[in-house]
Order: sequence, then C-alpha cells, then structure tokens
Amino acid sequence: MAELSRDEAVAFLLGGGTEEEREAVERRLFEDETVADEVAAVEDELIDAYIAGGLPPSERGQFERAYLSSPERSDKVAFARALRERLSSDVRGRSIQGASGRPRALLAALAAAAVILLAMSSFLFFQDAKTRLELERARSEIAGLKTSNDQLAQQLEKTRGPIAAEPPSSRQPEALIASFELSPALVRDTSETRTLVVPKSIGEVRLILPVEEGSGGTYQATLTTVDGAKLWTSGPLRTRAEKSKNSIVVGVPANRLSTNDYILTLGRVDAKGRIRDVDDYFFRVKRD
Amino acid sequence: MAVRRPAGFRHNSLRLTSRGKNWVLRSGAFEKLLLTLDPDRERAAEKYEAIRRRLVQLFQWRGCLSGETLADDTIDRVSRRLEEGEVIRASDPAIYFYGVARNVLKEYWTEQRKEQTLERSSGPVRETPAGQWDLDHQEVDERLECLDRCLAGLSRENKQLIMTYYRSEKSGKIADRTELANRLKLSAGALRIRAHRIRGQLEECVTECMGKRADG
Repeated sequence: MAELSRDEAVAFLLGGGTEEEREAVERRLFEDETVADEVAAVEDELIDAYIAGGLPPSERGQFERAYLSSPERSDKVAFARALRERLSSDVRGRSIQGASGRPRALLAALAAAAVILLAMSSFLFFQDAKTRLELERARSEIAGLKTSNDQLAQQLEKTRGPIAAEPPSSRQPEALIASFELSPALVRDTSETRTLVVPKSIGEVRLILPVEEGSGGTYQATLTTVDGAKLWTSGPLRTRAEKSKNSIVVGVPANRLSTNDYILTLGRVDAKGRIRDVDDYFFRVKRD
Repeated sequence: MAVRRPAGFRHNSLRLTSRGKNWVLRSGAFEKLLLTLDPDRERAAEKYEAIRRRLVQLFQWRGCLSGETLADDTIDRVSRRLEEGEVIRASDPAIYFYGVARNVLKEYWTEQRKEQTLERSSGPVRETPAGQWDLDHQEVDERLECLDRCLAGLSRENKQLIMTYYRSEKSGKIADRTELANRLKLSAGALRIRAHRIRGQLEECVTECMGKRADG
C-alpha cells in the first residue's frame, strides 16, 4: 500500500482535491489504519503550525475556514494551544528552578558568547576608526548585560520554588471585574429592568445567567441595544456549577458598555453548529 | 477490555435514524457485530474501537459538526443490517463500514442543503462564521487545569515522551526528537505516531474533563 504523502494529507485535511481524490484517500484510511494515523499526525502538525503562525497565508485561510467554523475542530485547536502553553511554562519553570545545572550551562554559554563577541570586536577595532567607536559602545553594553545576567542568576536562585505550581491565571495581570446576576424576561418591562452601575475602572462586566440543572451543551451570547444594533458576541460558553446552582457566565468587555439599555440574547448551539435563541435578558447600564 | 458502545445502546433509548425509522441497538446485535469483526472478543473490541475512531475522524475531516453522532449512526446501521441477516462480504469489515458511512454523509449533506433552503426563506437561525470560536479567559484556564490533571494521569514514560516531543523549540526539535527516538529504539515515523496517539489520549481526557465541568 503506497503511503500518503504529506502534501496529499494536507490537501485532504484542508478540504482540497476533487471528490474522487477525497474518496480515494478515505478508502485508504479504512483499508490501512497506518494511513489514518499518518493523516491524524499531519493534522496535529498542521494545527501546531497554525498556532505558531507558521502556515503560509493561502493555507492559513483554508485552515481557518476548515477548523474554526465547527465546535469539534475548534476544540482541537484550543487543546493544542493549551498543550503549547503548558509545555512552554514547563520549560520556563525548569529553567527558573535550576534543574540539572541547565541555567549554569546557559550562563556559561552566554559568557562564552560574550567572550567571542568581545574577541571579534577587538579584531575589528583595529580596522576602522568609526567602527572602532561603535564597537567600543557595544563592548560596554555586553559588559553591562553580563553584570545584569549575573545579578539575575542570583535573584533566580533566591526565588527557586514552586513557581510552576502557580495557577496560570494568577501569573497574568487581571482587569477589574464587576459581576451581576440577571434573570430572563418574557416581556420587557422598564420598571423591572435591572440597572448595573459600572465604574470607569472596570475592565470586564461578568453577567451571571442562572440556568436549570441539566442545561448542558454550548451557548453563545449576543449583546445588542434595544434598537437592535449588534455590539458584541461571545465565544463558546458552557454552564458552570457552583454551590449546587448552575449558571452561564458571560464576560463582556466594559468598553462595549456605555450608559444605555441593552439586550443580552443567549443562544444554544445545536449539533449542526446553528444557534437557536433561548432567552433574552434586559438590563440598563449606568457608567460612572 | 471495555468497549465504548454507540450512544443509542448506552442510553437504551430509541434512536431516530435520518430516515425516520426507530431502531434500538440491543445487546444481541452488538455482540453479533463484535463477532463479525473477530471471533476473539478482545481482538474484536480493538477492531471495533479502531473502526469507530476512523469513522469519527472521517466525519470530522469532512467538516461535519457532530462526528461522534454520525459515527454512532453508522455503527447502528451496520448492526441493524447484520441483525436483519446481511453478511459482510468485504474482505475487510472496515471497508463495509466506510460504505455505510458514505451514505450517512450523503444524507447529512442533503439535510444541510434542505435546512439552508429553509433558512433562506424563514430566517432567524444564526450560523457561526469562521473565527467566531475564540475562547474566553475562564475557559482557557479550565482547559489548562484539565490538561494538568490529564498529564498527571499519564504513565511516567508517556508523559516524558510527550513533554520532550512537543517541548523542543524549532532549532533543537530535530536533534531532540532524534535523540528521543534512539533512546526508545523507535524510527522517527514510529515515534511520531506514538506521540500522536498519546496526544490523542490527552485530548480525549481533556474533552471529557471539560464536559464534566459543563454538566456541573
């Protein structure tokens, strides 16, 4: 059985080729499991290349059309991002903790590079007066960097500890968040409209929408004005359980909200990727 | 070996095929299906899982929005045919499954086209355009937590393999992977497939973890 080439696999994954060509590949997937494994491995590499920004523009467009328009394939991309994030943080954590003398080797390599650079700059110094002056400046910078490096290494030794155990969210600076609970309204009644006071310092407004137990699946929220102007749409949302209550949390960037009346429409994504509206939530925002 | 049975069997509920007929995948039909794949139940279970995996992949690679559901539908149809007395004549049963899957796919496309026609005339169902599925921060954090849990569940050898295989930066990647392949006494191709399979296990584990969080 002839192996599938990488180009054939990529074309298949991105939806290219004629129908006959695609059927021929599919038959081979079922005749030989190694072909299926090969295509799946190429898929991993394609996704990783996309995340790393390594796909050429023509393939990037095809990839986004094929992979970002369905929940299942988007989940594969999201998983790949998480894997890359976790493995990158593992590399950072290991170098900070000084495992197996690696930072020392790294410093030694840096020192060697600095020495080599210094040697080169000394050679060139005698060649050109102008270059000599610029190289003199470079030498000073390198010396300064080496000193900073030594100081950093000492600081890193002091901070050796369970940095890798820190949850990801606490390593990132977080915008101020204001949370409000909303209830759906069957009929809009201005006397009942909830008013949310949102100070200027708030970066994100979290709208908590209680849902019934068993309301699984994927949702999407859309924010519009009461005139119908669409302002913002969320990414995929899922129900969360907290203290025996289920809810969907919608994080709206605060810069989308001014003093005005709004409607948040919650839609549920069906198996075919279409969104069917479930509830509307009316609220008023007052910005300080 | 535990075998993942199609959803219709697991929930013991009526399952509507796209032709509108009700059919329940009973235990007897499922056992007959396994026997068709191999007289040895363990090997039959492995073949079943391999076929199911390829069916899910086929539907996902064809851009269908619910590969698992369509794969289970295909398996249900094959089981029903076997129960009704049909005999699989293909030299490899997997090819037979592919043939049935092609019909399921064609019906899926027909249904999609019908619904697009309906939407043009009636309106309010919204499609999800490409690029719409960007994640919010909380989901990203949850996915990372699930990934940590799933990585901890791997064997030491598998964890080390996947961390080394995917960790390498571009410049050192080939050298690191060559060294890893030599250490494990694998060819580069075999290492690649093994890394892919472990990654697949992790991905399934994370999907399950995320699903449990969503259901509360």
